[in-house]
Amino acid sequence: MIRTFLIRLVSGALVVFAVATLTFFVMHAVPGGPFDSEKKFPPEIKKNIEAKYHLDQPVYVQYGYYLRDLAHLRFGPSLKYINRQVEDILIDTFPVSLVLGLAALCWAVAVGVLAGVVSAIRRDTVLDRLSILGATLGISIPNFVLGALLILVFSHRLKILPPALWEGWRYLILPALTLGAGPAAYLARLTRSSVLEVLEKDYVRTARAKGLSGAIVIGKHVLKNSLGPVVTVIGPLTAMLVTGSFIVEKIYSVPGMGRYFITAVTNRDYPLVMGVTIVYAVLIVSMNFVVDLVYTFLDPRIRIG
Amino acid sequence: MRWAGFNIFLLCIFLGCSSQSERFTPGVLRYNLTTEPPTLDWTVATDSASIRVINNIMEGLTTYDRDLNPIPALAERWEILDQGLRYRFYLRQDVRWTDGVPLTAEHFVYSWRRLIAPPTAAQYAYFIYDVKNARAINSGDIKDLTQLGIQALDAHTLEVELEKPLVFFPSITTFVVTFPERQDVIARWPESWSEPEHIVTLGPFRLRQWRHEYKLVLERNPTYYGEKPPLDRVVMYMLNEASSALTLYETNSLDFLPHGSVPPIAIPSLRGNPEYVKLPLLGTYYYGFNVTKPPMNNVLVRRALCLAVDRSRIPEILKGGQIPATSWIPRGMFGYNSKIGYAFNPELARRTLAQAGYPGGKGFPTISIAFNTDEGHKLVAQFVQQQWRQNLNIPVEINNMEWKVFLKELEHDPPQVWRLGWNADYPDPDNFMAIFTSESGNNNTRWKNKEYDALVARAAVEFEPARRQALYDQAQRILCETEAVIVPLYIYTQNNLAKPWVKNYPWNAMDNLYLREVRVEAGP
Repeated sequence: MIRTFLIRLVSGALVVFAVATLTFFVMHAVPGGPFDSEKKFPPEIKKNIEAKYHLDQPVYVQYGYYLRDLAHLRFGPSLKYINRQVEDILIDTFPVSLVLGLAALCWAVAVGVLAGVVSAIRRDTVLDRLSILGATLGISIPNFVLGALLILVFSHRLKILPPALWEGWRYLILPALTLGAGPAAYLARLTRSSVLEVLEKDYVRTARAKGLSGAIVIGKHVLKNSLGPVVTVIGPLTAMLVTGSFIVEKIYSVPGMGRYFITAVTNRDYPLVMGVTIVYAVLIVSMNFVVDLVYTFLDPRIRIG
Repeated sequence: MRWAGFNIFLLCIFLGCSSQSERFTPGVLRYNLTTEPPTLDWTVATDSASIRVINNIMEGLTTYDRDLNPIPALAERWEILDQGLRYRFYLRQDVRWTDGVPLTAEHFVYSWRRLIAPPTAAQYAYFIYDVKNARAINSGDIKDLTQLGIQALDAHTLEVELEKPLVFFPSITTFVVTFPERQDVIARWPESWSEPEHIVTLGPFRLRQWRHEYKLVLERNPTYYGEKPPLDRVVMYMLNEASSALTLYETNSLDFLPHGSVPPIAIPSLRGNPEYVKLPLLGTYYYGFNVTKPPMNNVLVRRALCLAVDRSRIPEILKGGQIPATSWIPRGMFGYNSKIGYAFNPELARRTLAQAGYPGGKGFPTISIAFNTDEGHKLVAQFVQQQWRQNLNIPVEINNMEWKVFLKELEHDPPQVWRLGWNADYPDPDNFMAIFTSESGNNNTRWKNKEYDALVARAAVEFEPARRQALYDQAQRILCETEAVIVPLYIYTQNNLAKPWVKNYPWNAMDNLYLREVRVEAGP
């Protein structure tokens, strides 16, 4: 097990390194620089700025500086937020996205899986239709529309929840609902089809023939065997949710790191782009490993190696 | 440790130790700063969010009155010597930093040397390029910082020597990059001296809290030399989604939405609302021609294009109360002359195009209008495209690009027609007119004109207002009529929302935020 863990650790590190390298060179190949602005400054100033941030060096030299910083677990100074290190920015913002993402994930998994199971068991009933309708709406309504709708209802009309800011648990509800709506709908559809497939299996028919109660058949035989595809999705979904969402954080003014996936690129803030990319890559790799571990629990035939 | 600490803090928040957003309190202003200030180090600050904060925690030699005239601040008076080549500033003797240290002229000398030192890489170092040796030091040609034309004659007398006389030099000293600094503080915490735990300031407010990407809190500075501000605190949120900010404003969670924070879509419905304040800004939106690219290399074509745009329709398209313009210097600034430039005249435009060799638009090549991707810029481009097609019968395409890609294009190969805007850094026409001089890095037209350059240079050193106005009139006529290098389209406006309990706010055309006299009284 330890050997397997070490192999996964090394291969994961290689994946992250490859992602970081690719992102570095792609980012530097994009036209426009971090200090291009509507008001241009004289060439002397441009020269001073480029020298300060090593932007006057060839890209491979900049890559060398970048690797050196990375070896010391540093991403370097942000080019936009002067005197702030990228790791400080991530330390300030990632925990916010993490809290929001986990809240969204919890309700998305709970509601999505429950709705999927109920829908499958009560196939072709009103409950099933309602569940399918909810899932279709959840998938097709964009975040920014749902966010605006929730603000309108809960903040403007009912005045029971704040429309924005980040001051306490009440401020978490609307952004978490918005962020988790799409994943919940997706999980509901996935769970439904997976449960329907398992319900047709011989061992389920055998369990029923043995006279086991419906709850035991579903809980012990159906649910456990139908969760494989759901778990597969939850890994990358977790990484996606806990690193924040540009739109949800913008609508609700949540001070998370999701905004940097867009603004760091538009600002050409190379170190910040690299920082958020690496955090995301590390989370994806880690979550995939966790998913593999969960597989072994769900299906003893699966071995990690 | 910091990581763990912050996680515990967050857990506390979400496990029940929840705080509340700021409720209305008399003496507390809740303001939308719109975005995280990239820095509070005033030597390297360039953006409006940073400058809005710095202008309230710091002061310079001069500041603005309500009409944007420079008036004494840290300098109680100044003398102009040697026909404007030297300025001698006499500092107030009762100014203390927040840590109790008295202000001295050396604090300015250090600050200006730091601004111009190449390793600082300050983007706005060029603001003081007219100070003796500043440019040579900034370019590395002179290594000795003491050669900069600034010296402390004594603890409270500062003298600045210029390369050439400058009429608007006192206006430059209102700008944040010229504010004094403390060498001892910066040397001790070089990376974090502008964070709340280290920063020392001397303005009407001091920095109490800065929760990055979220909010910033200022409180009254008890050591401020002047009359103490009526506000106890200012809470500045960084809400960059305008519709969210408006919702918070409407639910009385914010008292003030400044320019840039009011959603354009909401503006028509705000007209007639006493809380809505619309003012002109010292800024002009324009289209420029690359005069080296055919057919824009033909001045008659450029004139015809200028004549064929009915700018009076722009306010109804953009709905922000924009002021149509034909001249370059904006309304509200010295030098403004609305009679300059080509007013809409489609008949004359067609005749001029015919003289250029394209009667009825025949044989005119397809031209392209370039702009950076943005809904407002797109609306303007579509309007101008339609105007040129309709009034001149010429083929016009529009082409949008991502912002940085667009800037790169402008720098290396400007398109035939492109859009840009300019907002005043200081309220003097030189800030606008110098853009189109031959050596200006901001002149994307590729147009060079010695007569224009000479007029702008003469106006910058002309102290007599009538003669100065005449020089700028002449230069503007070359720019907007004779050579028709640009098409000024409209003057920007600022749209603000302020609750009725926010009193005594000094509205101004620079959109400067000065809160020292603002009061927040009995509210909802």
